[in-house]
Amino acid sequence: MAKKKILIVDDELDFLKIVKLNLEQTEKFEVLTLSSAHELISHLHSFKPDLILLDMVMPGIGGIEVCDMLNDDLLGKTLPVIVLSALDKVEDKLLAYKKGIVGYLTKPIEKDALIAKIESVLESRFKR
Amino acid sequence: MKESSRQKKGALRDKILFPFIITDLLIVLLSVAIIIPVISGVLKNTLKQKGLYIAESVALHSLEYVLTENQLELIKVLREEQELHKEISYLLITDLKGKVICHSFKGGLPMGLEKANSLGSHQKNNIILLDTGKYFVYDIAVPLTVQGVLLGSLRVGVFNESIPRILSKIIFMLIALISLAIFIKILASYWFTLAAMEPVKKLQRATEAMMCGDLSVRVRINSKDELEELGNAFNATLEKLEQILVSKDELSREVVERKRAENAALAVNAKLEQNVEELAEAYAKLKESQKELLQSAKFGAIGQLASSVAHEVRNPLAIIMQSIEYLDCKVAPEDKEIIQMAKHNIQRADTIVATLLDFAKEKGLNVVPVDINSIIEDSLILTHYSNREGKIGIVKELGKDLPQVLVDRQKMKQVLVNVNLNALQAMPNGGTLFLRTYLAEFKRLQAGGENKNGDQPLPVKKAVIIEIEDEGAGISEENLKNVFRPFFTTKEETMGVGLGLSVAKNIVAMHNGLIEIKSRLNQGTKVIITLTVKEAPNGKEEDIDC
Repeated sequence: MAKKKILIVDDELDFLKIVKLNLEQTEKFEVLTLSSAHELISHLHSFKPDLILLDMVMPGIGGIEVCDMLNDDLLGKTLPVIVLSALDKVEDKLLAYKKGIVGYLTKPIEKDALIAKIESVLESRFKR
Repeated sequence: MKESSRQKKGALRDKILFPFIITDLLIVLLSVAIIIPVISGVLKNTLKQKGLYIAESVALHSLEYVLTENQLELIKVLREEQELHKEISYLLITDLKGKVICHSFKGGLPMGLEKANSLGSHQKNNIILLDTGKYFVYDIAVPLTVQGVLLGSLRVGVFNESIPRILSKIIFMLIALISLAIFIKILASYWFTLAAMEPVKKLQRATEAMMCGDLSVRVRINSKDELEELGNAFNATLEKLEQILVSKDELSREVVERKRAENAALAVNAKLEQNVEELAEAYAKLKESQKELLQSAKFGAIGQLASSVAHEVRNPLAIIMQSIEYLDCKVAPEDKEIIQMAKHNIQRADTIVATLLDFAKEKGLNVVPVDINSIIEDSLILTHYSNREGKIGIVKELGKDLPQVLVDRQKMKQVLVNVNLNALQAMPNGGTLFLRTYLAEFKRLQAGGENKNGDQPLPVKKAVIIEIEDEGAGISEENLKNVFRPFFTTKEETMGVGLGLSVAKNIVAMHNGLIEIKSRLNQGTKVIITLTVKEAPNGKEEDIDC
């Protein structure tokens, strides 16, 4: 089975590093990390991920703005987005879901839970 | 002004002059009326006397010739006498019967003259006035007597014209005198107006100047009379007036100053009042915003802070979690336990953060009428895990047909969960957990977890009581005081952070309920929660006096 490509956007460099390690350790995923959404669209078109993990609170371009960017992009709007954020307030969740995300996970999260969610979303992708 | 003053001046003069002239004229008339007749009378008498004297004198001289009947000599005497006195018009001698014996006329005796006058029956002098056509004469008849024997009469004719002449002369003189007097008076009056009136003029001018506002005028009158005194008085008066004006000016200036000061003070006062008003407003606003701030601080800022803290803390926690899990594959089996401990503590940290967020959130209650028993059941489900080994027996004594209470389901569940957990954790070696609900009546119901001072007696209220009792180790009196404080715990770190009861107390307080703990060491603890029936929590922000 081909490795699924995961694009992670988060301003925490350590987090990106460790999650990439953990995901790639499973041999199921190929991970591209971005610490800011500035070059997102170009990376999107060059990397062509199958799923995007997105943090909400980031300096500069925030999570919601990223959702808008993705919705405006032909490729972007087809991709499933899972939010991975420290914010767990209901309003934040609602707002994100309105932007069309498929999942909202709160930090800290166990590695296995994260992987399970990713796999579940990718499987149901075919049903979209 | 000058015209009228001249008029007025003239008026005064005329006022003085006019009466004088009138009086003069009256005097003239009076004089004429009195003097003339008197003088005329005097003149007449004089004339008559003279005539009489002449007559008697002639009579004396002519006696002899009358006796001797010497007509020639008689005529000579008569003519001599006539020559002597110009007033004599004629002389006549008559006999006893009145017949003219001898006369002085050059021509003949005028007709009628003989019989014109005669001695009266008394043989005394008789004087009559005769009109000869040309003139008047006084015909004076005097008796001729020799040794008492009457022989005849002598008649003298005296011209009367001299009397009118003299009279007219006198009248003329009188008039001349009077006119002169009048003339002199007029002159005098002009002098009077010019000279004597001068002081008055001065006073008049000075008064006019004074009226125009010049109070510095003074008069100099040296007439050494009452006018001088008047002048001095005038000067003194003006002096006084000037002083008064000066002091009046000073006074009015003072008044203006005072008024200005007063107005300034009033303005300042008004400003001050306005400032006070503004200040009061600002203060009120400040208090308002302070209150709001306090409230929002409690729930907004803190909420914000809590949010950002939570967020900031959770990111590192996530990293640690992922890192630990990464290492999990790399460690020896005997060390996996350590990994688990690390993960557990990460969870614990996250729970604290979550609780803190929750603690700070407290937006308000989402109350609905609920059956309290259902929440009890729910909470038991949630805490089932802590009793999964079944060591603790659950005894439910839930009241039937309890009235519904208005509670926030979620929050009340949390309260019960927290209390249940405490109870279960207090019986690690087993025991019984009692859950009771029942209805009660209260005379007093206080908001807040603990009794407050200064309670106001309230009417009888119905309340639903929840009791959660355990047979655990109990809580010491010392610890009971602190049991609701945040982060206060006697448990080991693995068991809890110490927020459970403080959160519970907070929630119960928001419901205007009461939470109490009764405990006996080594016997057990009972938690009693009192909730009023169908009374909406009034949403007042209670002080969390934990």
